[in-house]
Amino acid sequence: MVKVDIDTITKELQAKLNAAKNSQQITNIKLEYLGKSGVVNNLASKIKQFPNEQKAEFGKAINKLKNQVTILVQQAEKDILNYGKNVDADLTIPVKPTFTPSLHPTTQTLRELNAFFNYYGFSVLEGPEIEDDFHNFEMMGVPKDHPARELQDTLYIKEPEILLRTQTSNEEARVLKREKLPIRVVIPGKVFRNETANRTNGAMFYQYQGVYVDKNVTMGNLKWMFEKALKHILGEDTVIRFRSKYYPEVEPGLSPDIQCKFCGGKGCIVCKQRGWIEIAGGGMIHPSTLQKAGIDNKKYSGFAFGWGLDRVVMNKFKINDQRLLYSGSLIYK
Amino acid sequence: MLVPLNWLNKYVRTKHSPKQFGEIMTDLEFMQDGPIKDTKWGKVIDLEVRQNRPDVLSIIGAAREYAAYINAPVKYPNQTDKIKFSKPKELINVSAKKVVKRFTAVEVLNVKIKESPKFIKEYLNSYGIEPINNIVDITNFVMLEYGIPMHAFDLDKLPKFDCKPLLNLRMAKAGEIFTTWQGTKATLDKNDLVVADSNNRLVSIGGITGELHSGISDSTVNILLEAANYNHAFIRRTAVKHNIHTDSSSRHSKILASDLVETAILRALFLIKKYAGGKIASSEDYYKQKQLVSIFTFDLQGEVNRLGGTNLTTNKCAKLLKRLGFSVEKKSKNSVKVIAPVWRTDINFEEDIVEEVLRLWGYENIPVQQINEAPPKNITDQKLILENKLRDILLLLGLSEQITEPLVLFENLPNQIQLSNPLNKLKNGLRTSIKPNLVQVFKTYKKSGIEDSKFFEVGKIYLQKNGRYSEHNAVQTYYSNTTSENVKSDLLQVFEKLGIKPKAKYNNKKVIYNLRQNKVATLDENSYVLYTDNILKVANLDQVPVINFETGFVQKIIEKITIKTEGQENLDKIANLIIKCSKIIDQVYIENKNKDIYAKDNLQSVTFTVIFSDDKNKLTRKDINNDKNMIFDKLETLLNLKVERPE
Repeated sequence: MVKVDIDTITKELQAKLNAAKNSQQITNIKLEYLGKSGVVNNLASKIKQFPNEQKAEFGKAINKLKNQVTILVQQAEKDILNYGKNVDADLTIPVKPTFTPSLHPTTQTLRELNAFFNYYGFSVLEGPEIEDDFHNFEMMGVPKDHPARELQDTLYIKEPEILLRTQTSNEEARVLKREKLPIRVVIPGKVFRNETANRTNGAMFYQYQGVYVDKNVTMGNLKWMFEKALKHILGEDTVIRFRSKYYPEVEPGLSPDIQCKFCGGKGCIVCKQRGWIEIAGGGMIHPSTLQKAGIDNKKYSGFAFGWGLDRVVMNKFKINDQRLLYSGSLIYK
Repeated sequence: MLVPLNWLNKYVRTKHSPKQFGEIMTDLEFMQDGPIKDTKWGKVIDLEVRQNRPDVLSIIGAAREYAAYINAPVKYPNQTDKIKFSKPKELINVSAKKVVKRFTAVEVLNVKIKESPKFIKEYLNSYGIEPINNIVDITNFVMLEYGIPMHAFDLDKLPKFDCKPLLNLRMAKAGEIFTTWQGTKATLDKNDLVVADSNNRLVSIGGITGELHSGISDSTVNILLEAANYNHAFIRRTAVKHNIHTDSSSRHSKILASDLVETAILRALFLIKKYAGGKIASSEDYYKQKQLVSIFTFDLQGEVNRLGGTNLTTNKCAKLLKRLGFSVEKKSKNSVKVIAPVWRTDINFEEDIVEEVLRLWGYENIPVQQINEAPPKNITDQKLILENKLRDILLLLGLSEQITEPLVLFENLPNQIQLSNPLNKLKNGLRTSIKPNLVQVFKTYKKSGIEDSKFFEVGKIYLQKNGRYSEHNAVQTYYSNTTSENVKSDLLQVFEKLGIKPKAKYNNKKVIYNLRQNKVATLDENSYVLYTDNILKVANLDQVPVINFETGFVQKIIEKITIKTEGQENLDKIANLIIKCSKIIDQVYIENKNKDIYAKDNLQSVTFTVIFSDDKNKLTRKDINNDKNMIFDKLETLLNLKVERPE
């Protein structure tokens, strides 16, 4: 009569599993014991030899054996994966690296700049992207038919009143009307122009704008802020000069140039032989803008400044085409 | 504005080298645009003249600025003696009174058409205008000298019909067609200013361009010379509408000085008399809206120093202004009367005068002043704070951030906004959902061989309802190659981090999460949207953890290199060889080991993915191609492999 010696069989099995060197060998052992004509099934087929009254007991023993064998094999399968017993694993195969998630370069740049301006007491605001003509243009010194409208090709939702903002100054207009004085804010955000995209400009791009209104705010303050910010962004060795430039929303207007880092100011292709690169714009907030916001422009003064953020991002991350930034074409590490 | 330096020297002797001149003009407001050109007729500098200063769209304008800088007088050119203009009668009739500010016409008889004198031809050439004949050249020459466009008609080609005036300035009739002297046709409407002859035939689009028939030719004997000033808005709209941009339209689209029209006419008459002869027969001047003089009486010193942060005296300010042609008169201790020169149409506020003082004094001289005031209360938008926290949470969950353009195809989706003047047909609407953009990004990634993607975008969607437009803040995610259970787990984790427990409502393969009647998120099989505006209403921002870390970014370009092998090679060895070929290769790996055996040569192909990146320089296609060729060469010669070179 056949006896089910569970102990012996499981000990033998354990020994074989311990000796297995890779998952293939474990699979083979699994087949040897649990396969169609494996050890367990072979034993089970002997049930016919038993008288009926003993069949139940034999069946129980077989089931117990089957359970134990299964547990041992499964454990061995896990072990070989988890504890590196898989000595045949080919670790020389060059594999695909895991991509770690990343923030968009523009967000990273924005965070850095916002932190910088926070330090100097500037709050961060965004403002609406769908805007009316008054806040985007009229209040910012560009009434209808003003020649300066040539500077910005506008995308309209409903001509001539509802548009996509062409500049973050729209929020400046709203802030000046809405907030209590003094005001110290930066306004980063998306702006839109009816311009075909090229390497340096897209129909959508980011502007970074700052506004400061208080008593006794001067152009000297603006120069100081520009120097701090531009050196923070571009490095302490940045050489800056200030010159007059017309922007309709400010009076007087001021533009900082940075000395070309490629030629050290001698003139090259990058700076179009100028030796200097135009980097930002600013000036004292136009008296008519302050007046329209209900601010006494003889008591208070303010400066506004701004620059295209994308150029800063591209410079920081060595990206040479603006179109890559917002088309999903940046592949992250 | 191109400024030939030899020409400029006629009005002010330059003391500086061309390079220094460019720098001075740049400081003054007129940035040198591009390198100095060396022409047969001398050096030419291109200056950027912004919309506020049409007076510097002229050589004399540039000379005035430079002269002010070096504190020298401008030597103005000769002009004919003042003439007495009659009121409009025989020569001109103005019915477009809203548009025409001034129109001056002079009949000159018995001129001799010939070549211009050498200096006029040279100056025009150096500016880039081809000389034609003395009369045409003089009109161009004076336009560039003073910035006032002018035109000469062949008087004998202007019919005298029904005793009507020769030139009639009126608004065009809808559908009226004008053919320019270059032969292009423009279909006009009632907002376009035209000049018609007495027979009502159009001879020019006012301020923009003329026609061929009535122009000056070799057989011209008698001429009608005209110069004008118009309401710039009309001229600008017409030029833009018909896409006709000329030297004349670019000046008339800005606010010109009406008083200069007479100066320009007198200058042209001087040159005509000298170089073409002839006699003035009659002259008429329409000048109803007189140019306003800008006069301000204010505390000049106080305002300059208040805005500039400077310490200039009234005397110093006055001297600087006088150099720029302003007249300054002291009224009392703190009050000065300043009158702007006639050519300055941009002086409308006291602050404009402050700028004049400071720009001539030099912005470099303004002392830098630290901001010492205590910062005001922080009013940072809470939405921006929430968005930043959501970015960090999603990053922690393994999602990368994307930013995409909200300009999309208008598909007439419910509540979609259509643009009225789109850039192109594919971007004529605004998005109503960010998800399609992220699906598009996934496709781009897939093309680069990256199939497992998890993205998010923080942005806006735009809707319209009953003519009202609105924008809504949202954070959209997108997952590829994962189970909907995983997507849902992530969303629940976001809720956990936000400290909110919204209720789920199942709705047609979507789950909508609400909290206190605010929809905070929607989940579908591979994405979820977080509604920032509503989350702000229910989450306590202060309790959302801050997880700030820098992730860095380096631009990458992904390339594929396929080799054929018998299956014997050590693939790692090949990968190592590839990586050593170039300093800008970041990683080499096998995406899928392709085991298809080629029936013919019994080889199997293996494709390596090669990632190029450079954290120091910008990647260029040329560098990558060079490196790829080197890889191909080395694989072939050193390892004797068969490489699939691109066609």
